[in-house]
Amino acid sequence: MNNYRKIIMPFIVLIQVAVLLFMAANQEYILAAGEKVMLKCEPIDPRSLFSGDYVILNYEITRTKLDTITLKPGEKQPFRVNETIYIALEKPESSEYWRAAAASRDIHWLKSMYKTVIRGRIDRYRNIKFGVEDYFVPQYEGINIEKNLDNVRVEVSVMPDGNSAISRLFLGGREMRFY
Amino acid sequence: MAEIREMLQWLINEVNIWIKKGIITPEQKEQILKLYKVPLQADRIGDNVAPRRKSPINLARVILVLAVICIAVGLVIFYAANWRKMPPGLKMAQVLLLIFSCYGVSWYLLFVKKEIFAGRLILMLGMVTFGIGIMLVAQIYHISSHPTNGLLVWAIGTLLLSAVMDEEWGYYMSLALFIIWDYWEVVEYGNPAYFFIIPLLIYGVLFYRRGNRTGLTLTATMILVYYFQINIHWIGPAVSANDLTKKAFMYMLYGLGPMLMIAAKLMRSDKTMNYSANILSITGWVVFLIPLLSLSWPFESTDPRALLSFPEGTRLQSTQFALFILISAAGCLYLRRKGENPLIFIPFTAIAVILFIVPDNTTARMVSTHTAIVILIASSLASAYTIPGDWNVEKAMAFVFTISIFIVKWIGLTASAFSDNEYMIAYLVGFIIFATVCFLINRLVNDLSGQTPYPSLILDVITSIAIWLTIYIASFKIEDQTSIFDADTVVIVMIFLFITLAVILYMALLSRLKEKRTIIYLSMIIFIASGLTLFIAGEGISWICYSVVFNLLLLIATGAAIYYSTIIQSRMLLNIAVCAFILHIGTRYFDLFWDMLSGSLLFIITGVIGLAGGYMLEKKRRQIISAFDSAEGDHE
Repeated sequence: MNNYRKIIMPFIVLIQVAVLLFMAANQEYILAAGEKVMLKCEPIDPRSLFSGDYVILNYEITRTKLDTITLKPGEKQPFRVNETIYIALEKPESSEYWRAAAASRDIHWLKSMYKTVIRGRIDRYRNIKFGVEDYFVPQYEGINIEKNLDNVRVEVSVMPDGNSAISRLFLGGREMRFY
Repeated sequence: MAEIREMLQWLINEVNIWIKKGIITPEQKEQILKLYKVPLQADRIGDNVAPRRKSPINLARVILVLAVICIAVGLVIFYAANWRKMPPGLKMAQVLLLIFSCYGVSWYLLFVKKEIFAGRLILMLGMVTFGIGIMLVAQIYHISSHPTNGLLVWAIGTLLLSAVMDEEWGYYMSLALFIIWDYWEVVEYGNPAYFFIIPLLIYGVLFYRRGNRTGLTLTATMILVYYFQINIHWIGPAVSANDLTKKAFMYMLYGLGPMLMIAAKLMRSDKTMNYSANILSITGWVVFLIPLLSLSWPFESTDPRALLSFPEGTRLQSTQFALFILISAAGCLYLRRKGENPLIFIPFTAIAVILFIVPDNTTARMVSTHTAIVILIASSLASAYTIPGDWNVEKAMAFVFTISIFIVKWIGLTASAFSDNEYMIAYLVGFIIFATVCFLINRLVNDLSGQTPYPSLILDVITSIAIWLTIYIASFKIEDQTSIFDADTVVIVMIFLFITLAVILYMALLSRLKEKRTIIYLSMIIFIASGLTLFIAGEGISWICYSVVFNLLLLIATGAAIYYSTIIQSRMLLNIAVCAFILHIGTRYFDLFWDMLSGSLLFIITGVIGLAGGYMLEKKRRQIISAFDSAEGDHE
């Protein structure tokens, strides 16, 4: 083994660790600094090959019909699969859940009217994925949640640039904590 | 190291020859070998220079490998599912501890203890733990934005470390991760995964530097997959490509084929790239075959514009085509400069250009593609078997190319005969003429190959069986035929094209062959009789007329085969011919008597005739075979 490898190997290992730390730190930052919005969802219970059990969370805003909300004038071109989309969220006084109010490719346009904008991506089924659809749970715990699907809500932390992360999951008004 | 050892061995062999020939003295040999630090007593480099150890199966190593696999699997299962009731911070700490431990132990084993094998294994475990770390961080924070991103980061991290450590297992592991990532992106998300080419090129360099042929072959295959996934994405529904774009994609393959074949030939001179060259070569032949077969049917094009003007929507494909042709031409010139004969590739390149230029109306496309088919079959078989040099892949692929076209045409024309009943005779005879042309090309190449062994029997057998079966189908009752002259112009043009080609080939063969003409005359009888039937077929002509012609042809063909088997002393041909005879006679017998006799009487008479006929036939067949045996005995 060459000597330069003796030095470079730890350096590469540090880069790998830095990647993991960055992933964690970024999520922590979103959770700490983002605005909290409550979303209503409809979960199902699959299993991840790599990460054990998780609950797939389909939010009301996942199936937003773009023709029923405000769109940026002149933005006629339909959204393509995998294209980034920004959804402005608003909270009606009568409900605790946030809902989609407007959509655009232009976050600045939405920000000029709404305070909270979440970033998503159009999937192949024309739904909008926000990156907060998977909630990992310990093995066999997913089934317990699945039995009470009717009353699941999720608190999502949303950053000013639209990035988001799951903050808390509530089942029947009780926060689910697994540690 | 292996290459240096080979070179030194070559040097020792050479200096020994020089001494024998009196070019140098033994003292000078010593001086030369000293110069390269070769031990003086060595006659074989392996005798005294660092003997190359074969690595035997070592129980300790096997146990080590199994232990690492067990630990890895255990870690995955444990950390994926059973670490509940831990806060995120503690989980993160464990993940980092795991990674540091694995890499730390690996570093210690590799650089301090010099335990290379164990160190490499633990290094691999470290790479696995990096991936586990990514998945676990995603789990802790419920990250699901784009699951492939984690896989991509894992693959990049593994490749980076493997490249630094020159770790072969790591190359394979990271390549596997990149392939899964690419497949996931393309299939699940419909992304073209443009980035995939960068790691592939890196792998190409890394595997080449190590002289790893398997790795290079895998990389070459994935580069081809990448090329197609990108191009299919460009013409896929995601980008709403029109029919003209899809057509341009097919024509682009005409350019890609010869370029890959030539590139493979050039690569083959480098031993390290030998296997990957074969992959490229086979792909080249196949990608040329695909459009050639797909576009050789009489369908109306929705947009008949030629691609030469690079119409809107085809520029990407047309530009690629032009580039491929230029590279192919340059490759041919380069091959020539190197003293290699590029003759086999020139027709492919030239025909690709012609097909690209020809307007896409049905007649022009049919005539050009079929002329191309005939020229390419003839030129590829002839070139592969007559040009001196290493053309083994080309020899095999020339046959695969020919047989593929032949079988697809056979199936296509026979299916058309059954679906378009009024032109049944036309389709069947059309195929007989096409098969005759293929048969004659095979015979001509056999003659041209001279002393070079040419496996003409393969195509002889396939074409003969196909022609016999087609005549057999035509020998049934076929009624209400429409004259060929009432068919579309393209059909008449195609028939005349192939008749002309067959006539040219007959003239060439008969002028060259001084003996073994029987089989040529037999094919000529079938060709002329079925051709005449084709032209007289039509309204007012009874089915009996066709039936008589084709039944006579069957008898002539079967009789000739039995006769020919006695000439060439082939038991296999004799047995096949007897089977064909029984099938023919049996079919006609049932045709004739099915309606005339009651079922029971028909089968009783059939049984009696079968017993008597079978006894006589078998007796005759045995007589002929014993004649073969005695003839063989005489020869011995």
